Amino acid sequence: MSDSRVEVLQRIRGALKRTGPADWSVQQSLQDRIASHRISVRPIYGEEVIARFLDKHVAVHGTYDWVDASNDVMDAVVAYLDRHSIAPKVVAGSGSMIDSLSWPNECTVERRPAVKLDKVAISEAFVGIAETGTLVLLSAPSAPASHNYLPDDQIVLLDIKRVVRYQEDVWTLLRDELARLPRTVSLITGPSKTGDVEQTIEYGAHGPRRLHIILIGS
Amino acid sequence: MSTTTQTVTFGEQVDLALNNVSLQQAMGRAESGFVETRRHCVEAMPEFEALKDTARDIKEHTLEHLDSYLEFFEEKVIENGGTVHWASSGEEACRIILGICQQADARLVTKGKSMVAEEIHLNEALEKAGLEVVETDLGEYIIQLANEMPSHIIAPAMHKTRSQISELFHTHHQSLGYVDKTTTREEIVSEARQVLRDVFVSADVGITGANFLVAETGSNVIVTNEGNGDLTSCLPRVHIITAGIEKVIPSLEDLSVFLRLLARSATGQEMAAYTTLYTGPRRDDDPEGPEEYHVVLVDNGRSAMLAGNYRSMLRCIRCGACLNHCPVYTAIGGHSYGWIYTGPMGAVLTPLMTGLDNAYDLPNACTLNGRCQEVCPVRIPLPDFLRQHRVRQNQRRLGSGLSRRVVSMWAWLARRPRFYQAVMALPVRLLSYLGRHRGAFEKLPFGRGWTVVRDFPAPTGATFQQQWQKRKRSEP
Amino acid sequence: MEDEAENPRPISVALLVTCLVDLMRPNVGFAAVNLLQDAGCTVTVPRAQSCCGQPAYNNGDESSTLAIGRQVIEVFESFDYVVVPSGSCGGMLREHYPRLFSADLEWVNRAYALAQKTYELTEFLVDVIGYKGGNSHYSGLCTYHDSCAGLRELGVRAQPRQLLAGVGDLELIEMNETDTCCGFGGTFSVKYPEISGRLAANKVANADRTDADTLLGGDLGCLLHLAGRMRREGRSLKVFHVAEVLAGMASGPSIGEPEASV
Repeated sequence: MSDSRVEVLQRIRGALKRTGPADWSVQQSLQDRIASHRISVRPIYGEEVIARFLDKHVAVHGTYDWVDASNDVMDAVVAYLDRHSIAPKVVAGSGSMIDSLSWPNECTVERRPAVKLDKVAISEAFVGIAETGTLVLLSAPSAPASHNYLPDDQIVLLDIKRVVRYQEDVWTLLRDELARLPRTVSLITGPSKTGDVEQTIEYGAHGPRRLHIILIGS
Repeated sequence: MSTTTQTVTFGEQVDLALNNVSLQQAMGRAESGFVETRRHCVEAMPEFEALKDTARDIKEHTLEHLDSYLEFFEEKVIENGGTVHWASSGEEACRIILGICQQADARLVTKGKSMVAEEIHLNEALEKAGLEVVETDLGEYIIQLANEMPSHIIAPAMHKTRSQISELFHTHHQSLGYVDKTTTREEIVSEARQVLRDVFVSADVGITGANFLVAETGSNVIVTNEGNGDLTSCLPRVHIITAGIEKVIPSLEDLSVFLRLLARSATGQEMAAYTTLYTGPRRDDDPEGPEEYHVVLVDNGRSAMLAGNYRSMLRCIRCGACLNHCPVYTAIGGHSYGWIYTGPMGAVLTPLMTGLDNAYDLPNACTLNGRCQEVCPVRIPLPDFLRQHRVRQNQRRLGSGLSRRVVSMWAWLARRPRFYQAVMALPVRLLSYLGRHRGAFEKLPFGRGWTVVRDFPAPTGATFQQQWQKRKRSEP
Repeated sequence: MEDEAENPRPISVALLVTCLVDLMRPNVGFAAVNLLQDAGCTVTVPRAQSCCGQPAYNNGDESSTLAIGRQVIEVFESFDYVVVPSGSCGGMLREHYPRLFSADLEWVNRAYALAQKTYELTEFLVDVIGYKGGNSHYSGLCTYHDSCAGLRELGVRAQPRQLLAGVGDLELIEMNETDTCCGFGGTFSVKYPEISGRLAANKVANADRTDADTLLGGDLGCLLHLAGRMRREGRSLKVFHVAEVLAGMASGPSIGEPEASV
């Protein structure tokens, strides 16, 4: 195995007209380039971020509720479950907003990885990206990634103050707020879909059929 | 499925494809779908051309320092608890992956879409060793059931009709308890969802490709609309990533450039539904996630491409835009290309990876119209590469000797313009005379290549040069 | 003429006739000459020309292409401008010659110099001369086919349409997929006839769908191929080179039509 490593690297270096690794100074400049977090060209837009975020989310078949305060979240959740006739058995992630929810008695809330029979998960977003209407969800001990993919429905809580304008803003926040990247950083834009049958979109291919955001704040 | 003598296979495949009504309908739908949606996206983003320049530059920069970036990436993967394997050849990559699976006592393997895995015939290698391998991308699953090659790199089952898919599911799912035949699209997708869910949760090993490898963080990035890449990466005990060595990019900010281009170029979406960065196996306190995280870096001819005149082909991000915009691909479909890489990028790659003599027709069945290069998000000079293949074929005397001799003769004449004009004057006059009543020929001796599908308009009298010289002579 | 008042001496232009115009439809060459003269240029048609070398180039015969290229450069480099009634031949000189000769120190500069003064006909008339048109008329509903080389290598799209707007009685309508290849592709047309035919069928169907009675274009290769397909399918659209219509020389038989036509 390590022989192949040497062989592959040697062939690459030969192709680049070198016999050995690049000079230390070159390698340092490459690391500097990475560390500069230099942003290249990107599409600039002036639209207000919340309006943009919600427009983009709806355009990819997402739904949302917008509530003023965390007190109103539970009502919105219960209403969503009712609307889609989903039994109130929820698998929940974690976060400051989810953890402070007071669940009505009829709701069963389980904090565990999802299994294939789970109907609905409730998660908390790290941020929302207004540029594309994208949610960013991080895996964590109490926020298993399976919540994003196995259940039929996913409800995501998003703090209005955590909606950023551009995708690069996410990388900046990740670097600032976390010591290292979590195991998964999921950028989710709308529910699961496929166009593999007759080149026509159907929802709920493998991931959730429906993605619902509860936006909190004013 | 290996490539056979292309000259025979290509013509037959093309014939089948041109006469396959449902294929033509599917291609028509896809063309208007992908092409139109991409156009809308592009029109909505004034920065698109500048973004393509940037993407090209990032790729060229990375390729120029490929060894360093791969080593940075490897360092980070190891730091995060993963393992990096290096494979010179496809066979070696298969051996490595099989070894990991056997070490893990694996029985069932789920697969996200990976062109590299198909390139190295990974499924066959694993199945031969007794493992069950299930493709999870719906299109790949369908062609796996049908035992066919993908016909498009983004929509591999594009050539299949709804009723064909229905049949396949009925045949293969009955033993799983699905007695009724699905008919609607919704039912088909629903059944696939249920069937594959069982597979996802029982798999021992999940194998995915990588759209990008990020050197800064040691992450691999997978982009899907279905979510199957994530289910393949999260649930099994072992996650293996197969990636060509050219997949590495330097930073997260660079990743954003490519993410903005990829979905737009592939399917006309601003973002696919799921874009996920995976960094290593489960952490100590993670309740789920793979215990092992392996990245298999595959060379399989890429370092040779780096050294040669086709280096820019390594910029390719496998978006499929060139396929979608190629009028030849749209007419003949993916199977005509004889391998997993189709359309313009396939016409360049297949001869490079499987031999120039093995795929004679691919670089030649092209009008060099240039639309592929126009839409390529990393500005690969595809027509130039196809012409370069033709030069090498010519030098190695591959293909029709008659064709080479005719062209050679034409060129010999063309270099002697006065003689050329004298030689051409007679047949032109003759054809002009013979065609004067009808204006065009339905048939011509030696002209079957033209007349089989269109009439040949008759020349219209003496040549321009003859008439021009005559006019000059009669002027004062 | 306006131009003569502005320029002390008329612009000297060499016409690269192209092999297809020379052999198959000289009317296009004469139309080009008339247009250039009407625009105030002196036109020379160098005798020692035959072909730009594309057939050899696109079949991978580089040495033959270079040999032809050297000859073309020698014959044409002394003129102010080289004008070509074809996007693909124009593109050959402007885009491909410099690259072909890039390794040849002796010829590369000459190739570049020639490239810089080579223009497709409509491009030259509009962008260099600012030609506003003659007094030609063409009574018909026309649709325009953009040749791929003209479009992608030379950026020719607006210029022919601008000139056609100045032709009396002529109405222009755009077809769908104007930027999709017609399937000619030089020798591709005879090496892969089934594919070529299919692409032609798609293109003529698009043209016909506009209800136009005339198909125009700037490349005789595309036009011979499309006219041949029209005839084979029994479609009634006339096919002309844009130069013929612009020069008021489109009253005779269209491409593929006999002398005494219906």
